[in-house]
Amino acid sequence: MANSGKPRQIPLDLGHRPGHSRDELVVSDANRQAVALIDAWPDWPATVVVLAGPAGSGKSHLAAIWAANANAVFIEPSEIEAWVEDAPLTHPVVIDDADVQLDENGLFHLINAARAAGTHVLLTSRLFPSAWGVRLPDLASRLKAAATVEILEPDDLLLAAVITKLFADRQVEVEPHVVQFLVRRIERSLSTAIDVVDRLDRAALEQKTRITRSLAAHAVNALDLGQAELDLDGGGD
Amino acid sequence: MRVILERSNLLKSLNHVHRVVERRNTIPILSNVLLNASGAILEMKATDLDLEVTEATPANVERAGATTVPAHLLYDIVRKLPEGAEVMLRTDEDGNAMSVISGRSSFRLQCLPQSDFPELSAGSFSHIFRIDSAALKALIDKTQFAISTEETRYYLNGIYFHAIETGGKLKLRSVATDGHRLARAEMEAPAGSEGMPGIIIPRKTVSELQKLVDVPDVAVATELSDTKIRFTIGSVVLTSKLIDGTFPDYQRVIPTGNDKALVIDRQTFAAAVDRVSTISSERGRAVKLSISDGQVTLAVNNPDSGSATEELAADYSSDPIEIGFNARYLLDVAAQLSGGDARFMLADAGSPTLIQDTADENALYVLMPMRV
Repeated sequence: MANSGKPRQIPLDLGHRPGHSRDELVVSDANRQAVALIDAWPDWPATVVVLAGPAGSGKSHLAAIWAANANAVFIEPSEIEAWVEDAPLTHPVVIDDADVQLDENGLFHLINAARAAGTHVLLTSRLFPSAWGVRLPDLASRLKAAATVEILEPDDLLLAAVITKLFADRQVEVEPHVVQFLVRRIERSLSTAIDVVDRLDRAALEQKTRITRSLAAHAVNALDLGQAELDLDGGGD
Repeated sequence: MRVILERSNLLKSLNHVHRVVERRNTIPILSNVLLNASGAILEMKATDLDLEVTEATPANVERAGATTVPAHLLYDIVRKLPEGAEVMLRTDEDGNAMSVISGRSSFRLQCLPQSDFPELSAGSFSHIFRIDSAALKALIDKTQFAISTEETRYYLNGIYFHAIETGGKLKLRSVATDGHRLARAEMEAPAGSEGMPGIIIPRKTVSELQKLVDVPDVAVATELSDTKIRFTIGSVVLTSKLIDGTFPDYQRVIPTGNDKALVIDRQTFAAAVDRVSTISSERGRAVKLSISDGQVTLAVNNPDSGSATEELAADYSSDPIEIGFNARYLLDVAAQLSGGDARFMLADAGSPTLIQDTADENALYVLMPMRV
């Protein structure tokens, strides 16, 4: 923690509510295909749809929109077996981060059950199914038949819109030129965007100021320094 | 329009309505007060498009009619008229000017047509109830100081009112925070407020309402929807838009497990904080509290000018703790408390501190420390 020695007010941790509604979804070229497919439900080209994209790219947001629309249930990868055995599938199903702790047999049966019930399965993952290392040939062929859409790393437009949305989630007004400054200065990833918005929100609350370009410059610098420290530690995943 | 009324009645009503009018307006009609004489009353109305105050006062209406004149100007004129005087308000035939005549004084004010005066359409209200004026005033008085003035955080620029069930009872609560401190007050919920939406009443409305409810034993009729609120206090009607935002989930910042209790004489404490903070700079008015068995030491250190310390006796028996606060926040909270003693519930130097009023269990305060 950088401490210049001057007393600093600690702000209250008031929190905020992330918006996961369709209205709050930001659409750009990076995710247009994925959004179109989510909006097209129930006219889906396949029983299984896979959303593949980097961390923070809005996979869970899209899944939440679809789940609300399709009255789908979220299930954990580890719970698949129980779901398949319990009863015939009555609802569409979402599995977030489907490739983590993948239960190949369970997923295979789940997909079959969904096909039999005439319903759908939405899977999200950071990777394409072909990179999941599936060993069960039947599941591999089911996943090959799935409609896979990729969400790309954000373009400038999306990053700017996402940063604006993140501020809107926190109910703070920020001038467009500050957002543009952030887009130019931060690492092009959505998780960095979340981090920098969090820092800025906190700093503005601490200092009781609006979020200005100079405050943004401070936050970006602090973020850069923080990352450097992490690099020195040799950590990372 | 031609109307005669007592100066004191006119002044009292103008005093209530003219404050709504901003000193600077880009829309000329918003500088004006609407005067409407009919029957045996003169009705006055002022608005800033977010807040509207109307008051009716008895008057001898010789010719009914309506017009608008500059609010602050009319108020200043009436204020300077001698006590006990009668005032005549009379519009010209063409309606372009209004004369204010009292004794040998005569003023002519330019008018704008009443048809241009904006109406703050209230729509329909979902909840209607009555609150005792003193209770409503307490809800405001205890929390108003914590309202944020940082305009970009619009959702904190007011007092959050909501009904909540706690301990098997329904309460009406007011909460305000600026992100550094939080104030919460509550009263038994009045009948009819059950299920009301949580609303944020803007700062300006709060401060007008605070003055209007400074009358004992009046049942304030309160009507609200999720976008508007209306208070009727005797002959005054205040209608206001509400802040279109979500108040934060404030419960999460009210500590429940703080186990270090410090009880200290409130006035002695406030005086000492005020004294030692004399030395602090304008920015960062941090005061460090070193709390140990039966004693608190206040310390301020300003690298530019010097330092100060003061020792106070206190009731404290937990592990020693050092914690910093903004001196002004401590004074603000101390000024709200009514009991002889203030009770601080502390956890550590980086966590929210709870401050309770030993004489009023309906109010509580949360203060975030400073890193010193």
